[in-house]
Amino acid sequence: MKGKFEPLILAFCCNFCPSCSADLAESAKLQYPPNIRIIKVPCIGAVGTIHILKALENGADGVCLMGCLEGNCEYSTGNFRARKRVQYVKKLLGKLSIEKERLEIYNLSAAEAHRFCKLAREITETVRTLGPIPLKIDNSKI
Amino acid sequence: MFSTVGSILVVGGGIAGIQACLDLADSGYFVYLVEKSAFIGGKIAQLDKTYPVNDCPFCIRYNEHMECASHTNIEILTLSEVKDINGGSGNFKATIIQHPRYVDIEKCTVCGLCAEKCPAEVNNEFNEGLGKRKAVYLEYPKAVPNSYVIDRKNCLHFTEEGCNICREACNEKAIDFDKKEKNITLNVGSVILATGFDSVIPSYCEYIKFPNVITSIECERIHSLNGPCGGHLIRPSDRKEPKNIAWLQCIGSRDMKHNYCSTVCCMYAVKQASLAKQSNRMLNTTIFFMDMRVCGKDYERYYNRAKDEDDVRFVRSRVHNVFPVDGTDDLLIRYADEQGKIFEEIYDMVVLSLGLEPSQDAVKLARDLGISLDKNNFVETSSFAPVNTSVPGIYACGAFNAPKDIPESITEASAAACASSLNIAVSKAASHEPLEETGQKPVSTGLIVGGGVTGMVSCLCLADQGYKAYLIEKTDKLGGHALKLRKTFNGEDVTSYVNELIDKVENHPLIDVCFNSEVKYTDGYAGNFSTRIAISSSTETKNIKHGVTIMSTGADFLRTNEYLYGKNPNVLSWFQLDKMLSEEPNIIKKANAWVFILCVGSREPERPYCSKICCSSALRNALELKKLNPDMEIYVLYRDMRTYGLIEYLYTEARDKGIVFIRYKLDGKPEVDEDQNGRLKVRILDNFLGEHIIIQPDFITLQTAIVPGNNENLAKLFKLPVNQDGFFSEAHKKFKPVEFSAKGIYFAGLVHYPKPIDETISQAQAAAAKAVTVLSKEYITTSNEVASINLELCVACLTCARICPSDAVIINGMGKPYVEPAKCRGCGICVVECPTKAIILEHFKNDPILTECEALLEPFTDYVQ
Repeated sequence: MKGKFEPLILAFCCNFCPSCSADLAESAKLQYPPNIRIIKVPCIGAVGTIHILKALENGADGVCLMGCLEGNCEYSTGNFRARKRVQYVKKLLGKLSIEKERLEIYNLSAAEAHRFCKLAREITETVRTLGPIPLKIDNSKI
Repeated sequence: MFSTVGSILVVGGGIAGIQACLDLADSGYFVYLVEKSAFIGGKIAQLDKTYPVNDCPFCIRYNEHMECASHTNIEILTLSEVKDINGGSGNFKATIIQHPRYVDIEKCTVCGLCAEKCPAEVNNEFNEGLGKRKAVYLEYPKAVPNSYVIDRKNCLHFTEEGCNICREACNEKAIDFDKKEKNITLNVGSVILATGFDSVIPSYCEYIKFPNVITSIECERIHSLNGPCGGHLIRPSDRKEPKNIAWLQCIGSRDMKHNYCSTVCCMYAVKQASLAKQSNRMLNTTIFFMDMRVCGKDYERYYNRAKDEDDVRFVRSRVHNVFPVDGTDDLLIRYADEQGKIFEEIYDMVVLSLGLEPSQDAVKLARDLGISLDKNNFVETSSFAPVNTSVPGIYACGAFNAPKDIPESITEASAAACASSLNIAVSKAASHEPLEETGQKPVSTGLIVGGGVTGMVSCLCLADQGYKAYLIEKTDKLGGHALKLRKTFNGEDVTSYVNELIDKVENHPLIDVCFNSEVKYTDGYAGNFSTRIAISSSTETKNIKHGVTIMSTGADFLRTNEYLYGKNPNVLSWFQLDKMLSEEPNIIKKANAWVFILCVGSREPERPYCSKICCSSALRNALELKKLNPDMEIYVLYRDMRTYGLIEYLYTEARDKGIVFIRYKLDGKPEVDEDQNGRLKVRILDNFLGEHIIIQPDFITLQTAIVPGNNENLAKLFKLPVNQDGFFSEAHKKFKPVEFSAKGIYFAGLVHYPKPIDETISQAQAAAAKAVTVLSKEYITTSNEVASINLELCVACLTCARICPSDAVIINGMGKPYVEPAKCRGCGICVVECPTKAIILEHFKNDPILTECEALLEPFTDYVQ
């Protein structure tokens, strides 16, 4: 990689509203940074600490979780669980001297294509200013 | 191949039409959906948010739209009109004209190149003319069917000959200008009209020409995130943010021409005003209204919140004109308050809350078919058969029957599905072929808890379709509270209807009524429940296996201690008056004055909901009294006269007959006293006079609140949610009005919320329609994506059982958890919560997701320059 730093951000998107928003953004031909890679999950509450940490360990410079609006979870409390978990992981990151801003959780409805793009740009910019994650493991050496 | 025998035609692809289609298709019938426009979905996509939950309606309905488009039992005919329908019930022949789309749905990839190149620009009617679109267009992203369409009226190929730009631009060669109109003939068993409404712009409303006077639907588009203004509330003339906005209610409703209430305008104005306020705290919002008719579930709370928390200003006045302010685009409103004092205020923008009327094409079609319509062109229906038109085999649902909110429309759509399938059930059975059995068959029996009108209607619907039904009744007779009622709001005889219903239920070979019995225990999942019933007269219990459960335990009325109720014999409750009307008319003939007090116990801090039926039942009874004794003075003391929809006719009639209406406020309740002879005296503040007046009535009737029955027990047994008022909570307040979030359990009637008998019956039919979608399945379907527990790793901490949102984790006899596949909805929450990683979800095991992580995290060289 040469030139300026391009962060890699992994977005866990709940299969309900946020994925709809992402799809809507695509079909409405809105643009969001190509740095965002989306993984669809059945519920944002199904994203575990392990997934977030593994993502960061494996080379993501930032992780964001996108859940449905609070009170709108198909499984009633999934997005609250995710919010708690994100707070917990942020604490862990603090202990590892990794910037907490690399991890974020958002709640969005299924029609917020514009907001999806805005959030994508926001987290990309935040992580871009933070620089590459100091964690990157060279897999070939293991 | 599908046989057309037993298929159904649904006219209108709006929210009701789609719901009717899905319910029928899921029950195994083949449905043709005829939609006039190029896309299905109707008006729902134009709306920004729904009340009372403030979520995006399109997000929630999108799945249904997709399901409708991809369902093998549904054929969608867009750009189509029904020309004629011949024949009779069970065997109609419908002639449909389908206009060409000019874009091949199969080939179009929605790349948008055609629209980019198209030179013809026209007003976008989806955005109410607030933006532009091309002549080849997609109404909105994700419209269904997801394909562009050419608007022939504006396309230069047709208007100016020879423009071929879009055809050349299309890489998929999807555009074909030579497509011609098609005539389609369909053989169907039943027809459902779900044609919806048009907004009324009345002729007196000349001020609509001012640029900053907008309609309610324009307001929705302006405020919508995917609207022409990107969600910023701006006014059209100068695109500046307005500082104060006025909403004018009852435009095109409750006037001389449209003498009915449009039901939804109050709530949508409250919603628009409070959302506007939430996005800009500095904004001043004022709603000019006549009566605030917010009588749905949780609507009163929403209204209170708008008033108290969002500071929306409510002014009780009907504004008759709007004037321009010279030199600006502002608008002047002159209004009189309740005392008749004139005020003038200047607003930046005025929103007109337009009423609803049946769509003109539908009225024409209905007239051609010989369906009788009322004076305002709504379909004439009976309270006891709310979706049947005067022509057998043709049903109507949604806003074509009366102005209606979304939940009622959806309920009616399901009810119409139920009624229309009864009509062709025989032809379906004739063409029914056994499918190969795989997996477990659902138990084809329904359990109905509660033997009131609701329960009996649901029971009959199931039994008439060939399913066995058990009806559990707590008391020793059927009928419930309806036995005490005399007439519906439009004067139909309830007593004889209920007796007829009881007769039918008790003599139906497929219905088993259990009197004096209660549910003691229940278990299982959709398609396979098992319930234990205890009969109070004996120690015996009875086990019933059933596929679905319908809760219809009804509600009760409040035993108040206000207004001398229970102390003075002349203070009556509503059903005591009903009894007196039928048994002792002579007493009524002698009475000189009568007072009705409304909102007794409703809309108060401890019971902040509207009981919905009190206004109409008071007016019905007041008119009966007037008929028996025309000289009697009748006073109705009310807070807001909530005669929504066509019940407004009653209110008009009551005022014509000289019944006196006096409004009171919560902090100025009427005071009821008696002298030593027991003669009653009512003291109340008259708003017009500004003084207290004293009435000395012979009788007082209290319209006491409807309160939920003892639902907590049932809720615990069936694991069902109950809302803060004690009524059952549905899966979604707007779009799933008869379903619980647990599959296979439905509810209808007053357990949900107080409602009149016609809405109760349509809900009962809707619940039965939903039940049939489960019972008619050849086998119980379970999703692939279900969790399973590896018992070797499991330490039985039972975390999974505690957190499972679907209650799918069951503890077996060994003390180990087990996931019931029919209940699991595959959210994966237990997978991550399990401390020993003993749970896996197919497609969502730890490994694949991490592999996906890694694959996605490959350094991306392709775009870094």
